[in-house]
Amino acid sequence: MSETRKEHELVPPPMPGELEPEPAQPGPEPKPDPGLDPEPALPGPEPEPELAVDPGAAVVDAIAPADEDAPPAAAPASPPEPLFVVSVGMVAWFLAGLVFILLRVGPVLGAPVGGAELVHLSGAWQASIGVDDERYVPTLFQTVASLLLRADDSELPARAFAFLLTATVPAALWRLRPVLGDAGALIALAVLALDGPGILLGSTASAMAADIAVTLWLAVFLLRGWPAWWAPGVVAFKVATGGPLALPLLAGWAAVALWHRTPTEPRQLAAAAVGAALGIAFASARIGLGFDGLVVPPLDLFAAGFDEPWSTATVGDLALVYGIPVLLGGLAALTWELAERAGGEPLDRSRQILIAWAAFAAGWWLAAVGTGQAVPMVALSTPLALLIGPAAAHLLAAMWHADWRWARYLLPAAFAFAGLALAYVVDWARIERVGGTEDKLYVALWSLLMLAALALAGYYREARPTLAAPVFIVGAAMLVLGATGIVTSGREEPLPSPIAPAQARELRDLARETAAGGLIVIHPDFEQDMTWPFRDSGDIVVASRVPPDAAFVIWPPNEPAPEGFGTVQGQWAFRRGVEPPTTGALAYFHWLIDRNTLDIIPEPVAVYSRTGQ
Amino acid sequence: MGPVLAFWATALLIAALALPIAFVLLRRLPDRGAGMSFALGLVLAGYGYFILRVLSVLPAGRGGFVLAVAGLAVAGIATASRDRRFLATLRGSWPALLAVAGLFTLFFFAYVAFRSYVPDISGTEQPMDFMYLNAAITSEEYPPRDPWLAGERASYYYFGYLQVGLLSEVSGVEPATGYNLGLAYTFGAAAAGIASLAFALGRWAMGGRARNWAFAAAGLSLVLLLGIGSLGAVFELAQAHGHENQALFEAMGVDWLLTCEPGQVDDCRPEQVGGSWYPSRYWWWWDHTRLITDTITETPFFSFMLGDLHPHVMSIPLVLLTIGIAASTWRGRTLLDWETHRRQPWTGIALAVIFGALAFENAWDVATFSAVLAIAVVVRNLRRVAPIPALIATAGYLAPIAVVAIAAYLPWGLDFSSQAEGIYAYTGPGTRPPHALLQFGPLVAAAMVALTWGIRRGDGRLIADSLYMTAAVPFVPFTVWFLRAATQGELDAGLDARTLGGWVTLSVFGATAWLLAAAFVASAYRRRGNAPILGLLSTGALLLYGAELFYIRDIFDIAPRLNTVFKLTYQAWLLLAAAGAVAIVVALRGAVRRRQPLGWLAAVPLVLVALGMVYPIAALPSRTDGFANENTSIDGLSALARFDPAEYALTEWIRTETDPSDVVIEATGRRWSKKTNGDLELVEAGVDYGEGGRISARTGRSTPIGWYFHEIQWRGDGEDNQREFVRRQDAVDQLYTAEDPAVVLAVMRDFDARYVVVGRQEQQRYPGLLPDFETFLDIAFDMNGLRVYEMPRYRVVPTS
Repeated sequence: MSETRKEHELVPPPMPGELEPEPAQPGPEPKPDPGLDPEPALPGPEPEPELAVDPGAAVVDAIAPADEDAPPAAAPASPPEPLFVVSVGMVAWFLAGLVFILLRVGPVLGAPVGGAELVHLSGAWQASIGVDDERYVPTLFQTVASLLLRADDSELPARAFAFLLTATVPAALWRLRPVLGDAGALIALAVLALDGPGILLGSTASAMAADIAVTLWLAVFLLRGWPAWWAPGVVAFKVATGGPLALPLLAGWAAVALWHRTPTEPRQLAAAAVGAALGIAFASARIGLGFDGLVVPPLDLFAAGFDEPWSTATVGDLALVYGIPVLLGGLAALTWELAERAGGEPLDRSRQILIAWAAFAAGWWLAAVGTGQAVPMVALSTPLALLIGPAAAHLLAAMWHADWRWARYLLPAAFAFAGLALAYVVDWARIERVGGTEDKLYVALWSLLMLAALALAGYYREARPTLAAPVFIVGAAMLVLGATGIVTSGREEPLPSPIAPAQARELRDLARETAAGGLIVIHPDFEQDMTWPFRDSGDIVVASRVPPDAAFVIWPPNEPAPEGFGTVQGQWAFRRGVEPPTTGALAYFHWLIDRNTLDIIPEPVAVYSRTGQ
Repeated sequence: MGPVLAFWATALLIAALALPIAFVLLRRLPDRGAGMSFALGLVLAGYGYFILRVLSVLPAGRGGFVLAVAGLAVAGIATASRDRRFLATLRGSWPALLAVAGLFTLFFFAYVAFRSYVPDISGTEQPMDFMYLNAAITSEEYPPRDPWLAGERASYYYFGYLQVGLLSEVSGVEPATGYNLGLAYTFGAAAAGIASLAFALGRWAMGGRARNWAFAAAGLSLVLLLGIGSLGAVFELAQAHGHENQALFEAMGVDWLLTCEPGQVDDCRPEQVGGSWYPSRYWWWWDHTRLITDTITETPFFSFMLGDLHPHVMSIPLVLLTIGIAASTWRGRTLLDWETHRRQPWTGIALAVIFGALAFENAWDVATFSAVLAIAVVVRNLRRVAPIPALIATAGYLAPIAVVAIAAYLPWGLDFSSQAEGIYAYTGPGTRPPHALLQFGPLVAAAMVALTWGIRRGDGRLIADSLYMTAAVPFVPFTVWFLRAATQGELDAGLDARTLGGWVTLSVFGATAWLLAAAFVASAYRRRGNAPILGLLSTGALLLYGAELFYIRDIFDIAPRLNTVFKLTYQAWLLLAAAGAVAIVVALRGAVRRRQPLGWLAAVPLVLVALGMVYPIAALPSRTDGFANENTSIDGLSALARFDPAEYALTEWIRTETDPSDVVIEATGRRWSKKTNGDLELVEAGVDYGEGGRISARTGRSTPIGWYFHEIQWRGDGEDNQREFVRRQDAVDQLYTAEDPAVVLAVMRDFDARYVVVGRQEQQRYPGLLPDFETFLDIAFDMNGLRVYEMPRYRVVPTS
């Protein structure tokens, strides 16, 4: 082993979850903050570790407490410290945060209104004009969205608000460094940044748009302690007026707290109770639309996800399309976490909370696997990202120290063999049928060679961590592909779907223009779809029979044209969906290499105008 | 197979989540309550769902059910955290956990395999069961509405349906499949529960070294509960094979099984047709549950084979759980009084939820099995203090539980209209001894065998004292019967009507109950481990005895003791099956290991049990038509989908495309025709047990009126009810026979109905009478002439 490598080994990276020793603080003891969590096992709001340059360390381990790198007192006088120190770690954090934020700009500006956002924007619009609508679920975000819609009928202000809230996620991850480890938190941020369904949820204006930010900040407080005794009240209010994403975290935290019989400070408990009660009261008042029984938005939205068509693709479909790296990575991280602790020290409480959080989210995910929504996917990927981060950091460190002598040749070879095998499969996918025996033999041969190369690369224990490299590369590639599809709002992207096409708004303009004061009549089948594109269009008649004074009619295409009306030419649709690529293995492979292969399924409408107009 | 696996996994998950609570409540059982955790988890999650729905905290739909299970998980963790021995118990219980999970799995899939041959939800009261299952799942408000009486809430004990609904919804299974899997779940949970209970009773009675004998007791209990039926099947099989002994058949009271003489039609069996080895007559096995005149005497095996998802079936696991809790309570050592609740408030609350659930799930059970708990508490307290303080402590312990239970189930109780009109003396002929033998022989014989080891040599004085102390067991009920009959003015008639056979049956049941009660008291006094067995057997015998003396008057005037005999003997079956199996094994062990000759008397019930197994062996192929169905399925509507796709599609359209709160009008089940003079004529008035309310039953959507007489059963036969129900029937019939659209629209507005169904039934029930709906209603669904019409809609929607 080279000397350089040995030098690196002198300062082993901190194990994920381990806290660096507290630097000795000169001067008087700081007064305890009455708002701090009294639990000794929780890290508590200790001082943030300072950043310092450690040019010899790996990028993932670049951040270390300042006292470790500080020169000893007896050392010779060092040159004056620069005014501003930029560490590799800081650069990495800045880039990750920037990527996280930039990836959400695209959907804010360009994603079509669809899925849960379409439902909830419709509800918010109705609420903004004072119409009671069951699609209005009074989360705090939804309430703000309805107020913003009063000022501007576009979805952009509400999305911008969602974006601003979600943009605080990197800061939350930064705050979680003492829990996840510096590199762990950074990798967790990277995973969250590239999580396709998460990108969409955090940058569009569904009632749950604030959920990722709220959940992660809740995680910060639950894992690191509350900044003040009244803070639980504020957060409880926000959770009670938020979506369901925080529920698994709360359940996981409650499970761990109950298990350890953690005493809770009465003031904090009271503040949380008051905050939750106020939140429920706020939601039940439904911004003045009238009290209609107790409304608990997180529970209502949790339940609604099971029944409402928030996505053409099911949770299971979305897992295949966007979630494989996170799901498999999370599973591997969990296994590693438990294996590391097997027979050794018990898991610290923050790790227990993370695992319990993931377990409850997995339960939700499993129960919802056949339902049309994306939220359980995000609910699961969020805690899994926090588990993946530390595990991946550990693996990267191990990779760094691994023996690459053979792997540097064998792994590219394995990639090459995999590529050759994939070439056949891709060809099959294009023609939508499996090739002949010869082709199959070739695929088997290349696959076996790939496996053999991997097996050889990992033959020696010292070289085994190198096998993580292809896993990282493939996982990252899949994540990047998924994120790219969402960010660029591809026409054939399975998420969001169904959407309200721009054409629906054109139809509205045409209707207003053509009706010229006459009645615009829409069939009840399209009543829900019509709300958003036809917003701010005056009174619309929803009727199952064409009234005599109708001027412009939107009707099911399979029903006969109303008498006295002429067809408005064009292929009109209020809604269109995208069939997910999960109908078969070949379709899936085809989509992996060509994201423009999915069927777009419009729900057409027939449009008629009074003859002579 | 996917839905079956999802349902099975969900059942296991819920049981696993409830384990920490089972470890606390059933700590004294050898398996620490693992076998009862299926019922425990489902009751607690189901109650959580119910009460949170009532309080509007949980929303309707699948999500609410999932949240209830998450709540159970948190409750389980909270319980485990307070149980210092939890981890040790968990580590020590792995073999039991695996055994219980395996047993549940075996019985669950065995039942699924059977039911896949006869999956249809049709006939008997299965549409009613399906209706309540759908109501529990889909109701937008809670307590749930009654789909067969639009605008009204359910007035029935529907907790079992809610639990099956919870399993179905959490596992994502459609209700028509969930119905059948609910039966499979109950079968599996009942197996796990009784095996757990019998094993515990066996271990306590025979000691730790008799582990294998305790396993034998558990196995035998499975046979007694789920594997035997009426001994009448032996005669049925004999007749089918041409082996008839008229004298024997007449002596056993089954002369109606003799082959018909030429020209004879009634009270006889036709000759066996076809070459099957089992009786081939259609539904012959049904007759053996009506063996005792004017009563129903089901056995659990029959219930599961029939496939009615009835409350008394669904409650079996819960009943076994309560017996297990009573047994565990009896086994404890500390004094139970009101102070206990201060130390362990959550245990008391859990007991209140569990025992209160007995009423919510099958109201008949609450008195019997609460009494079993009360006896267990009294006996336990008597071990610590003198009788009077023990009784005071018992009252102090049980009263708060009762109060909490009443409060916990008040939202249901306020809607529930019991039709019980009081306890009356039964003044009929009584049960003939041969019928009692055919129906209860194996179990009563098993109970009697307990006397061979329950009364020991050297206990003579104690037994004499115990007989004196327990004389109230047979004589108080009889005295009350005497006085009640006198106050009814039927004493003379009652004494005259009861036949000699009736008196013999009464005496045998009474004497058995008395002797067992005396043996129980003596055994409890000696603090022997076999006391619970004797107590449970005595209670079972007492139920049989009570059913010969009293009945609870309801609306079945023609057969006044029908329900009483049905429900009390069913309860007795559960008690006698669990404890009787142990009684037989204990006696056998005495004979084999200790050379106690009386122990060989266990051969008698064993022979009767073997004869009782003829029923399932012969009935199962009959029920499944020789397992000949090639279109096996677990979907309860698969036959409808196959044989009438349009009607099935119509049903599915309503289930998936309409709002759960919508009211749908469909045929009442009455049939009309037009006379030559143009007047309408009612040609068939009976509506129950038919296709009336079928759409409502299959979808949970409300309809103005479903099964008329069942609504009477649930709400009473007062004039107001009768008038209202008939008004609804008339209104619906008017709608389907109206010549003026205004009548149709008026009826729809009257019931706030949005849809009118014209399916297969409507075409048959109103032939040539149906109005031309499409001229004034919208066609919402149309397939092969079957339609759903919808009230036209017109409303102005502001968009700015």
